[in-house]
Amino acid sequence: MKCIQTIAGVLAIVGLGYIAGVGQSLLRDRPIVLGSGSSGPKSGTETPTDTDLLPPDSGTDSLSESGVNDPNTPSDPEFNARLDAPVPDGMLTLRRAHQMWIEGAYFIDSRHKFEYDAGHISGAAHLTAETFFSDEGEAEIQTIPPDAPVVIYCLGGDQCDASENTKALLEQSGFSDLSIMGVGYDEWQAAGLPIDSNADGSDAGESP
Amino acid sequence: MSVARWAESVLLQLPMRVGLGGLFVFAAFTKLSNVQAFAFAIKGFKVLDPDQHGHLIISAAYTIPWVEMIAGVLLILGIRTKAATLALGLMLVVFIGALLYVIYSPTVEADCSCFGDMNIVCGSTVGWCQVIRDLIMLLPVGYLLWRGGGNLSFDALFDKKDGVEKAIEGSNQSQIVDEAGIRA
Repeated sequence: MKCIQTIAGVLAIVGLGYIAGVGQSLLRDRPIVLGSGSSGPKSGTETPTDTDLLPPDSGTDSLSESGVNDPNTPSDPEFNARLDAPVPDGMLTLRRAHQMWIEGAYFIDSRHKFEYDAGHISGAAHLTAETFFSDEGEAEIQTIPPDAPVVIYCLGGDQCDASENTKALLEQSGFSDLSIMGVGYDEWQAAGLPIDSNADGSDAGESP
Repeated sequence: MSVARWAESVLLQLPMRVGLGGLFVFAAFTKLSNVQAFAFAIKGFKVLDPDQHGHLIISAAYTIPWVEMIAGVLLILGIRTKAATLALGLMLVVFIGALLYVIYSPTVEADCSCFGDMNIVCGSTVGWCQVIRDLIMLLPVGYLLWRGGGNLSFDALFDKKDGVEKAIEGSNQSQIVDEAGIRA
């Protein structure tokens, strides 16, 4: 008898939780987005060529002020191999992402905060699903014009959901020109492209 | 009512209830403050396919924190202690199952998001640490299921009243035996 009472109690708790959740979902002013499916390689609707149509003068923000730190001669075959490393469908190669960086696209780091603090692409802002609705997240979003080109990156590969999630949230907020860098921060760093780190507060700008 | 029972209540059951319940209330609070992030976290476990079962992910994202919250508060107060404990225990078992699923999937790497974006004891990426942490949390669950909420709970208040009434009615033999056992 006691046992049945306990089970009834569990069901009551779950039921109350469900009702409370339904109530909360009704009060919420924006729907939950899940982004695209996460299993297997995605057939992206956008191709890297879409972003090739960017106006060359799109770089009018502060990102480009730090200057282009071209670390290698373009003829270096190893460097070129890094730049053209294969990426999942619909994502940017490192070469394309770097080009957009030079052109002044906004870069968004969707990794963990501690990873961002340890080092991030020069000028990149930190924005994840966790920080998206916080005050600092809102402040970051405010600084980006809705039609500006935005490149989102995380650890890279097609297993990196964080970029997809941030992209889905930005899409919901009305941003139109969103791309994901197919390779991760480590590849960017390994290629010797410009990075910042919050640890010392200065431009690390590692050159190989 | 013996001294040993009070001691058990003060030294074991109350700390367990407040600790376990508090942990779950805190976890629920971090998730409720950002349901969107929790939905992404559930998606990240890749137990459910977001294209086919997205609605389940979304309803789970809304329901799980509230169940944690309600069960946690009931546990702290000691109202329906066993039901609240069983609810939390079942959730821990489900969490452990999900963690093991991620650990044993070679391609899946997920964030636990057990406490939102905060990390308690363990790092953020799913690993054995979280499994062990959840297994440790199952210890007080087992104890509370076995022994109940103790004397310092609302259950004890209600039960005593019930017990007296029922003893007067003489309709519930087992309750009387229980009470007798408590007094002994």
